[in-house]
Amino acid sequence: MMEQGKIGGVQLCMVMYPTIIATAILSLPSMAAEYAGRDMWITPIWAFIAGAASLLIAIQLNKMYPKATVIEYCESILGKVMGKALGFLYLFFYIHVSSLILKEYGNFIIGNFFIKTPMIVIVASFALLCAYTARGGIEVVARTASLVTPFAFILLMSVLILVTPELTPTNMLPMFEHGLMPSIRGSLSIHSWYSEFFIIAFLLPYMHNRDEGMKAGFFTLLAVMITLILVNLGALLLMGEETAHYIYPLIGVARTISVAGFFQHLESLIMVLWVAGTFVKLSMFLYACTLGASQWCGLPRYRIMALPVGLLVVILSQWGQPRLQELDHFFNTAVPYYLLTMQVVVPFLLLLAALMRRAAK
Amino acid sequence: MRVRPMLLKAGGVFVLLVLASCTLSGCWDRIEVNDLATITAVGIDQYSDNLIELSLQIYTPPQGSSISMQGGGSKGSSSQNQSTVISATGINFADAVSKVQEKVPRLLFWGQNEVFVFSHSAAKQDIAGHMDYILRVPQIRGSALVFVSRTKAKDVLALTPQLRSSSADVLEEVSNLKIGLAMSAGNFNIMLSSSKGTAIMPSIEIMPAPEGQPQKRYPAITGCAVFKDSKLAGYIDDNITRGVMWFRNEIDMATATIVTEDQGGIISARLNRGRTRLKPRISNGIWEMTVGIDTREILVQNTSNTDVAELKGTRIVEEGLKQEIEKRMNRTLQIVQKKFEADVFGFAEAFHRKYPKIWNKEKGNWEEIFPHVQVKYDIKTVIVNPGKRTVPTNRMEGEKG
Repeated sequence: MMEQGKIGGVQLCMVMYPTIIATAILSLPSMAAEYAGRDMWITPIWAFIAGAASLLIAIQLNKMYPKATVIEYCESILGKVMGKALGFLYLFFYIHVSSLILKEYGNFIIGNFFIKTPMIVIVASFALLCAYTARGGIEVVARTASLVTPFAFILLMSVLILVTPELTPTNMLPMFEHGLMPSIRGSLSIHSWYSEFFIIAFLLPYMHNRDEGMKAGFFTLLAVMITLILVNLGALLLMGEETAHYIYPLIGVARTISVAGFFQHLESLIMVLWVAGTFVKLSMFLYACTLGASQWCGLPRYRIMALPVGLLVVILSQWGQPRLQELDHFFNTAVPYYLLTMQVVVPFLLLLAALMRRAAK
Repeated sequence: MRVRPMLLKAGGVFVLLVLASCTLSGCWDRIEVNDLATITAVGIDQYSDNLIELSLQIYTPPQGSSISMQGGGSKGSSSQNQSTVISATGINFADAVSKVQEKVPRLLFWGQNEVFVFSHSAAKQDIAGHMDYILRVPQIRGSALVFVSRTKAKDVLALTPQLRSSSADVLEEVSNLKIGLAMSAGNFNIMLSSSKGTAIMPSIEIMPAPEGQPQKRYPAITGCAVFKDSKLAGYIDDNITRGVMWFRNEIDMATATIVTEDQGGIISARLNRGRTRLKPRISNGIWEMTVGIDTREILVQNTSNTDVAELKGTRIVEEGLKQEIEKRMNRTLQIVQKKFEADVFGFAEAFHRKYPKIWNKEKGNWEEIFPHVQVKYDIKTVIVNPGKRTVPTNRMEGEKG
């Protein structure tokens, strides 16, 4: 086996929590508000379905192939040729998603803070760091996450707590004004974010205790849901339906904080927590890409793949026009279906095929 | 031979450290503090029909501060004007900003700006356009306060008031006291967009100078400006503004004074805690709003015969206060609801919340409905204590009320 490291249940939570949350807290409130309006805070609850589905599928597949990652069991299930093809698809998918994360990261940092810095500097230095972490293997990823995640969590919560004096709870009313549909429609993007839970398939084979994986996974899902509800509520109660008109509502939330007239201008906190969260997220994704690529090629070790994969992700993230509008358009139209297909539908079919194969035996 | 690998390793670490230190020198687009022009307030005037004049109040650090520190602090520098006003014209906000930048030898820095002052005509012409720039550019803070000035905004910025270092500081601190209305750019925009262009913004005037110091004139909040269809429609005075704040549940500091004719004297009470609730009702096509007000007051002055230490006397005062509040709110309604026909109270939101179905059918007609909404009051005033004393100071020993 290529990966010698082992992780525990708590470490799994520490990795998975920011892997979902990091990019979600920034732009999701706005996307949810666009369709759901005042019901936007309900959208993370609907999305529980997608999260639980991808989580359960990953766990079931792991039960059947306890020592293998997606790339490996694709082959066991579908045979050599089909398996390699699907494995390649997954590899491409994770590299592409990593590049999207990187692109979003670059856009956010440049759009709000480092306006004149060239995108490539910000993106490449960050990717280098994450690739280096990924090169260290699962234990390094998990340990840096254990270091960074509690810190980011505390920052996020303190922002939400400090802003409470400015909130208007009545902004939530009336609930379900136009029935359930707007909130369900608004949850589409969040569904796709939650489906990223499928990346747990790269972690489960390396758990100390596989029963913990299930528990830790669902605990993280719950934590993610509650966090997203709180973030959405913060934006909604502060700005009402105006939330939909801001690209990064959370920045506005942080900017409103003013405690005792001097404890203010806290938007840098958002940047810190976002960079910290995205660091864990991208490290995890790059680790998945690195490990996946080496498994797909049948290499004896994966460390050598980390930097090339990182380079590929950086280059991919620079493709296309440097327009935020373009990225937003992609996120609003194609991404939900793209992510849900690759992380819920295809895994589900894989699971079915595996079950049939077992039944045939 | 274990020395060579160790040396190599140490050398590698050293090279890495040197390389890393290159990146630690700072961000790519960092700018030294003394290359920045810190904006403390922004004024927008209408220069001509299609030109605006943008004035920036820029903080100027005292010159030669290092010398005065050595000399034990010279008194002259503290009274010196600490800010300058620079202005330029342009066809819109963004254009004017770029023109000001041409005149300033430092880079404009928006991070500390807490005040926007719109002149009467600028607010009348294109408030939505200005708000767009303010809320779109990432460097500008949406939590900055907004004001309408009845005089030229540039003049307001140029004031050098007493007690505070700049006119921006005065406006910011007065707003923090929450005596009058305080409105941030972000909240103003939320109000504007959620009620189709109806909103309020505190208005300011320049107060005359204290005697003997003609240069010490200062700005003060004297009421507020009412916007309809995103255009300045008119002003309401301080009293009416406070009525509006009662409706909006924003009242924080208030002293009500009642003249009791039958008791022969004047009684004042200060608001300790107040809360307003709007309870909408639609029945038989009649839109009705009950304004429920709960207040806790503390007696601060009593020159009447009413014995405020007794329950009976307290009840009389409470009843008087209740009528006083109701009178004020009725006057507010007369002007804001009947004259301006501008829903700045949040009635629309209240109806929307309680009757979402009817609201969605009728929201297009809200302009016609609002002036005819019947308003009822349900006011409860409680005087929680009579202050430090029981009987008035003019009551003689042994005298009976």
